[in-house]
Amino acid sequence: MSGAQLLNPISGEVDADGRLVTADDALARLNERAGGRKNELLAVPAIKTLALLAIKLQMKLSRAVRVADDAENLELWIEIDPEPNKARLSIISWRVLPEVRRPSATSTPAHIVHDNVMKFDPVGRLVRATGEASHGLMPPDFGRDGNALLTTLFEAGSALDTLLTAMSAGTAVTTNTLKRLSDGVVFRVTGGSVSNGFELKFERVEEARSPAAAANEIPAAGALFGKNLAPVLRQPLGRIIANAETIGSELQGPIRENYALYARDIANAARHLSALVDDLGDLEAVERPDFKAARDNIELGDVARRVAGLLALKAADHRISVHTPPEDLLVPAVAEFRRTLQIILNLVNNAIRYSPDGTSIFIDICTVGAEAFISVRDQGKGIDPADQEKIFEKFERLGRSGDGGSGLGLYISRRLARAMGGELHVQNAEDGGAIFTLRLPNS
Amino acid sequence: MEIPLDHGVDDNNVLMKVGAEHAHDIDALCTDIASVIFPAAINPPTEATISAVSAKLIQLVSDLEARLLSKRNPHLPLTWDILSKSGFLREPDLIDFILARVAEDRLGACIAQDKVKSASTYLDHQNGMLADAAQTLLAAESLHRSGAGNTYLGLTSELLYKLTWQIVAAIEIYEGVRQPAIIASAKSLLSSFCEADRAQDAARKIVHFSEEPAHILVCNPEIYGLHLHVAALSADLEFDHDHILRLIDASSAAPYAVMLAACGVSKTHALKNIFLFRGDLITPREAGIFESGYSNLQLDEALIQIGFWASARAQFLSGGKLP
Repeated sequence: MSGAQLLNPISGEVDADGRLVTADDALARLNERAGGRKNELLAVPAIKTLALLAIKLQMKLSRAVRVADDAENLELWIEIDPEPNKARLSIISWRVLPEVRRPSATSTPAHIVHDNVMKFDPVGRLVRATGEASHGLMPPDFGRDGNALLTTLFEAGSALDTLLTAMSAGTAVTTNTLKRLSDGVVFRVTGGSVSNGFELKFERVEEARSPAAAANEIPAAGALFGKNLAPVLRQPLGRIIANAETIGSELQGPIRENYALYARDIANAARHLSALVDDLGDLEAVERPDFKAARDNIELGDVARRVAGLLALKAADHRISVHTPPEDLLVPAVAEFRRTLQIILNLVNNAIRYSPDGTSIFIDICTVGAEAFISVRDQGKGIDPADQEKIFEKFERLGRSGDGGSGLGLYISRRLARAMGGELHVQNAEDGGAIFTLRLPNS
Repeated sequence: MEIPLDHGVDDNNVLMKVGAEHAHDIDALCTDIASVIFPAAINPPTEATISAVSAKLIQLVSDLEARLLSKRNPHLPLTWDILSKSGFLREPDLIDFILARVAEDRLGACIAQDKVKSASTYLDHQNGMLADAAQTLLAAESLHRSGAGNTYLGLTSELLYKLTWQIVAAIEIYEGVRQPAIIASAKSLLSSFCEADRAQDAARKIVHFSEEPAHILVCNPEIYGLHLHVAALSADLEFDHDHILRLIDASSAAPYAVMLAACGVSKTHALKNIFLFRGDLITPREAGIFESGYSNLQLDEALIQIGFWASARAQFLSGGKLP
């Protein structure tokens, strides 16, 4: 592909509100083709975003920008020079792309000309809504991420998930029935890619779906926690933790002491929730009837040292030292590497959590016949023999609370061990403390 | 051949499944690096990765701080404690940027530099833009290699802006008073920064202006170098440069294979590229997955799949982006 360098760059100016103040003919025509006019808001979202970013940062930007309308797909090379309240644009190259490659599923989209439509630009932001589809939308909603917007407008469920997935992939949306949250109106939604974005058509359905039909959609959603819901939950939880920590550490200035403590409580609660989300995702995976673990050739000493490295800071916080096997001792095993690592991380994490400060944790490995063993020994108070099986049960906490555990770690670990052809059990050491031992095949 | 996998994806092509898992994994790795708690990622961060990320972060903050304070050039930055306690150094987009640099270092080392034409072929090009971009790319690559003191010049404009003002705020907290001189220094730094001088942007500009078909650059990284290879993939797939770097360096070759398939690269060239960047890492299991999957991978399917990755990443990183 060859760039069409312009002998005379195409210039323009955009003010801090995003209005195209001045423009050479070619830029003005491009803006008009996108539905804009001079001295009004620049109607080419990619260029407007870039110009506003340059003004906000007060930094020179120089980027390739792709814009498209019904007639052409273009790649422009734009340099933007900011001033305090405006940005000067200079388009130094203007290239017509031969064709934009799209998956074939979307290469023959139905051309949608109906009135009740929502249109999204190539990066998924809402640019137009007409008829009933615009009901309840406010001016700030235009330019918002389409996925986020639709999630707030329509009832959650597999129909909405399917629609969002199709939009993300740019594939055609076949008939999909969605219920609007604000007024309960049900729409039949179809749509697909158009040359410069994605368009959805909304057709009002007079009768709401039958409960039976709705119920049919629920089971699939229930089985997708780890795959779909967990990643969505992790991100906001991460933000909560980070922001609560910022507040709690009083970086923006002193706050009342009890408020700082509340912020730390929020961070700790969110951390606990985040760990629970991970555990529930794993729980769903290990309880699937078709769950299988891979058979990798692994070395248990390597696993032990990785775990010790990952938890070194946490152990140091409690003045606990983690002892690993000597590097020259090799104990091969056949198991899935990441699952083995997960089990040992869980065991060492528990050992740190429940051992007195200043003690030691020992990770030992050995081979006996056709089996490999890795054990984690702590110097805590051990586990009552009556509870030694009970602790592997789901949600079993042995009466503990408030320590950040979910009661799922050991249950998941044992299920993983068994899925890899091994076993996980616990016993008490003669001099006190608990020894958790993971047995795995070595051939 | 039956390969036991637990990927939760219902596609028929195992290569695509593995690609999807690992592409998701690179986002999860950001979180894991940030918190050092297990385990959203398939392969949790190794000590070496954590160490490389920490070292690069320290260098970055140190370089930027030295530039703002002009006389200071400490081993550990003055503002490090404050920034790390505030959670800023765990922002996903910053960690993602650093991980891309770690990936860039590793992948760059896979290419024998003496055989790379890189941008030098364009230096005397009659198209002035192309010649300028080539010069910029060579200068940026040389700056990258020479290292210390200038790491902040590789930041994106958005990240440089955020990091600069965070450091200024942290210095003020440390000193306990307003610092007009440092604020002026920060403004001067930002206004003099031009992202066109970054290697990634110069490479993308070359791809834009070059008459060379992008396909040639995609197929021959050993000749054109890492930056041009990634920039060509970025242009072809409309994918972010750093995202591509991290996907090539993911814990599996599958995401890279899916990207190459989406660009229509032949199996022979794909295999050559995979061995170039991952020869030391590829396992027999992965080789089997590639062997059985690549030819069956449809260009359309691959494009759809990587569309998912791009949108997942955009959502993942949105938390740390400027509004």
